[in-house]
Amino acid sequence: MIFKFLRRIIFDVAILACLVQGWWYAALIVAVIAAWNHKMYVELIIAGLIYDSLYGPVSMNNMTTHIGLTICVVLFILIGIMKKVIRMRE
Amino acid sequence: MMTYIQNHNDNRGRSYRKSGYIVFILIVIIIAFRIFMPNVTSGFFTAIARPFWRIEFSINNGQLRSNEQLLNDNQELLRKLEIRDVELKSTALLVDENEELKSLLGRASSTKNILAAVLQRPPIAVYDELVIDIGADMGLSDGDIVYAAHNVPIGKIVDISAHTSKVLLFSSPGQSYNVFIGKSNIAATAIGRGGGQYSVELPRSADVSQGDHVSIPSMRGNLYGIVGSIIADPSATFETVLFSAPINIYQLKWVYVEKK
Repeated sequence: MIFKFLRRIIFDVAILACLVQGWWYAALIVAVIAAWNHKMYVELIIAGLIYDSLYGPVSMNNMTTHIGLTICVVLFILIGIMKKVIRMRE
Repeated sequence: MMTYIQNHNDNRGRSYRKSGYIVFILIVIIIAFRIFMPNVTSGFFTAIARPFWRIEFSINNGQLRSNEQLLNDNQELLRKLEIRDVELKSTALLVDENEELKSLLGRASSTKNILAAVLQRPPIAVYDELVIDIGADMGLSDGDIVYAAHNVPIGKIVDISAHTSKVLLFSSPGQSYNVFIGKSNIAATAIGRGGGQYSVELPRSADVSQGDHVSIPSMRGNLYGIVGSIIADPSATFETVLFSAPINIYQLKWVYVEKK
């Protein structure tokens, strides 16, 4: 239990470090792996929010400024469905 | 005695539904924040990331080197400065004459430029933007033009935080600007393709060739780009001219902002 919690924290820190560096591709890969291995990994959605907040032109406020959040929400739902389909137990 | 097999499916289904509701509410809250208070999330996360960007910038610019190394670099820079000083004095005369002529014609420039460090720049970024280390603290405003070396305009300020700002590059996909292209200064509209690249649609008869300059219609006549290639389909009446900024935006360390 504690090991899983620590592992989740490590994934979170790694994602945050990648986002601060601007390595969205690395952050996405790590987030997807973490979402696959953890239950209800909402940090994936928050990662998309952080990326859009740091690098997106928020003042323009149209669909093109929410690419990160949109992709992460879609991935979160897809991974949840896939996990349910193959009955992956945590 | 009856044996009852416990059915876990109902419990699991309830758990999934509950989790789904929580996630849905979280997404709605996030979207509401992004729509009604977009600068709150941007300012918050930028304030967290800024110290890390500053440290990285300091390391990349050698500000954490030893004293001896800094002294040696200082001497070398002073020597180069003396050489540049001599060159500058000769060009200063030309600049003064230029300003005098402009003022006589009623076209004197009076711009206020502020130097800014580039904290984050795209490579392979989803958004074609730079993050610079000045913001509301230096009196920037939306729409201020940002220049790279040699007065090359590269973008405009779009989001201003307390100590940082985002620069939307002119080459961002979908952005369009009026330019003059070629030796004949043909008026055209340049469309951004991302990463410092632009495209322009011109009639096939247009007198444009590789290496031609592209400028923006302003008094300063800044160099905006250099024609890289021309895509001409013999069956089409128009040709596509591709040009790029004369500087490498992926290697920018310093820019300056022209305040309105």
